Amino acid sequence: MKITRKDFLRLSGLTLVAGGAMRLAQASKAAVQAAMRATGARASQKQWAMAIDLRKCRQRPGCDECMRACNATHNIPAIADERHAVKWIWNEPFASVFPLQQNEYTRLNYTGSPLPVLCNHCGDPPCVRVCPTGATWKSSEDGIVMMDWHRCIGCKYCMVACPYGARSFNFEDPRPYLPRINPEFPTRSAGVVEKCNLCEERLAEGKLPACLEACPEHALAFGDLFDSNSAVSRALAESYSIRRKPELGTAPNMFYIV
Amino acid sequence: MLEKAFTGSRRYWLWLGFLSAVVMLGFLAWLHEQHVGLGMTGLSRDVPWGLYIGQFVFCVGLGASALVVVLPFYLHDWKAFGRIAVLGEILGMVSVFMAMLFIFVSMGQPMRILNVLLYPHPNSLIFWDLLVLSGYVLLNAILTITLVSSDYEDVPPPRWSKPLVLLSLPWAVSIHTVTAFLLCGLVARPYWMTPLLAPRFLASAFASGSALLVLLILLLRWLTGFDAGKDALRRLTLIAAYCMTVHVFFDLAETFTTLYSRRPEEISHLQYLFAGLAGNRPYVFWMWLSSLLALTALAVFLMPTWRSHHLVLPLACAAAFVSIWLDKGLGLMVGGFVPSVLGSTPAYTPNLPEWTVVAGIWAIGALLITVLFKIVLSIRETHQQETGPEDAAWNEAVQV
Amino acid sequence: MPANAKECVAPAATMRSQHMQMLVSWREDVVRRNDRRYIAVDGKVYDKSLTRTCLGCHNKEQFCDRCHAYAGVSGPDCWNCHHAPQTKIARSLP
Repeated sequence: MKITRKDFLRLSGLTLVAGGAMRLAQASKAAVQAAMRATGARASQKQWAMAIDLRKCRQRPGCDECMRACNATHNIPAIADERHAVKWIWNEPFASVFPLQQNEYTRLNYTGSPLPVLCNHCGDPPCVRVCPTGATWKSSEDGIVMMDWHRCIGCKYCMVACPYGARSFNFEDPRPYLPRINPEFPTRSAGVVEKCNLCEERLAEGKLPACLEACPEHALAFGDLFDSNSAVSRALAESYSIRRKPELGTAPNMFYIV
Repeated sequence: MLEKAFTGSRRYWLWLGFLSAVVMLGFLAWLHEQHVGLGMTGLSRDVPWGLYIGQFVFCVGLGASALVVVLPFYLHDWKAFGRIAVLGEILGMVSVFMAMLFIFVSMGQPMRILNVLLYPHPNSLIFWDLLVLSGYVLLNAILTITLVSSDYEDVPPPRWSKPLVLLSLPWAVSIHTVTAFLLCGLVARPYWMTPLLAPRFLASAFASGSALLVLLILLLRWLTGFDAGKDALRRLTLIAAYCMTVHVFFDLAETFTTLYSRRPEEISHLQYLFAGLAGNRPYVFWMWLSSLLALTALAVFLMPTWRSHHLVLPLACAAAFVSIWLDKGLGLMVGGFVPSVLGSTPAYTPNLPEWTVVAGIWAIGALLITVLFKIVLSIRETHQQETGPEDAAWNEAVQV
Repeated sequence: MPANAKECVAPAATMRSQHMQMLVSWREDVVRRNDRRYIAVDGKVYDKSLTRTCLGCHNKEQFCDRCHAYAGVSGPDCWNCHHAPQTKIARSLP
């Protein structure tokens, strides 16, 4: 069968366009889901959340057990240079975390202590919206904002988009900065972004997050926010709690009981 | 026609040699950066985007500014721009190519760049930016090759090139709009989250691009005796004047809202840039210099006697270019990240490795511009020698 | 994976030609879909893990590297991030 060059080119062009359109249609499904989320529809079947009781946390000034447990479990490098630090859960002063929730007249025993901050695993995460490759996404199963370090191109757009400073970039190879390696969890390489993963690998084995288990004051309550009987739901039902920057519309799922 | 690039004066070859050396240095610096990690730059956890992304934004702007010569010539038949329209297209294409290089060197895992196309995510503006920027480079490359080879063959350009040229006009607007959208939809960065960002980008792009084009034309005249044509320079300078006016107005409008409302989350960023915060003031001098240069350039552009002066004009154009380069190429990025989302004042100044890589990429751009301009100008010279000083035939031919 | 396991998750011939695709699909399943159970053709259930399952029996230097170093195939670089345990047992030849 003879085919003219013009027809062949036309056919090839159409095939390419059709293939590209199909890919785009698949990808647009994610965009539609994201739009649905914006209208209030539930992003996932479950939503893992944590309530951090600052009343208990304040009882131990200088405590960093949650951070140590997380760092050890997840091979987080101990980099002294603040500019290159990798932090999944760490302490910040109250005024940095809740700048609008305090003033010069607020009681110092509430606002004088640092508190742990981590990824909020937001209901409508801006980091997920901006990721060009889907290296970070919100799990539709349990609401965790996940990271895929195989796909991350290190563009750092997610870091720019996160209003909470929850994400860290590997500016150098982390391995020289690991005192000891937990063989059960990978290290990462230079050039990818990482953050708290809510211990999803531990949750898969039925364990609780490492920070929660390590807390000597039992200040962390965890569970499914959509289940009114979970520990976190009960904690939130009993006491008033605040979240970081709620006015931005991100719907953070880390609650602070002050 | 490529052979035109291989014949040139001693000055031409020395210039190419110098640029190649700078490119090599930049490349080596980048290789080292990839080997050691981006920690070699001045970037940090609080300032993940800096000089590279700032230069990317600035170069996309230069890319969009091809419009200031292409639109009047092809859409409104401004014959005065007959000789410089293709130069504007070349500048546009090379600038966007440079912009893409700036993105590439800022990535932590650049070898995975194809993931953006393999796993498309239309919610992400980086996805759209890659598409429109690549498309623009391709489109302008096709147009440049077509127009220059038509000129070489001394025939009118093919008819299908006109619709492509017209397509490049909204495309030029879209590349910088998408780049602005990359920044202005992020709740985390109030300094950028303004609907005016895209219009501001376009205004500053056209102002800096037309100023650069004036400078290049004057440079070509001085180096090669290139005659841009009666009226071309005057009209281009007028365009630069109007664009600079709009750019300054937009900036002042933005500043008014911030300063009058005194909203803490907005004013703190402006304060850091222009007055310093918590004792940190590395950009204060440069931001005020940028403002001074902009106002000076604007004053010169608005005075007919000054903007036609053979010395004052290039100085004013240089001032406009440097002013916008300072503001958009660095101030925009730093202002977005300081103060940080946790209220701290992180220190970021680009370091030597960053400047080396940046110089390397600018040298690539200069190299491409030199070679491509040389080809265009040599072809014109050949025709002039053959047909005489008045190339009415060329002017006739390019009106497709 | 128990150290005294006698067989691999799939026949050797299959593994030889398809371990690359299998590892990639395991990776996508575990990381992106939280699907950690691999059901082999004989019905046995394994944990989809390079470190625990594969390297529970095979030693990286004595098993993987023997072919990969010889053929000069670096492939996707697993070892920058994944830790290779010093497995004493080096089951079979690649």
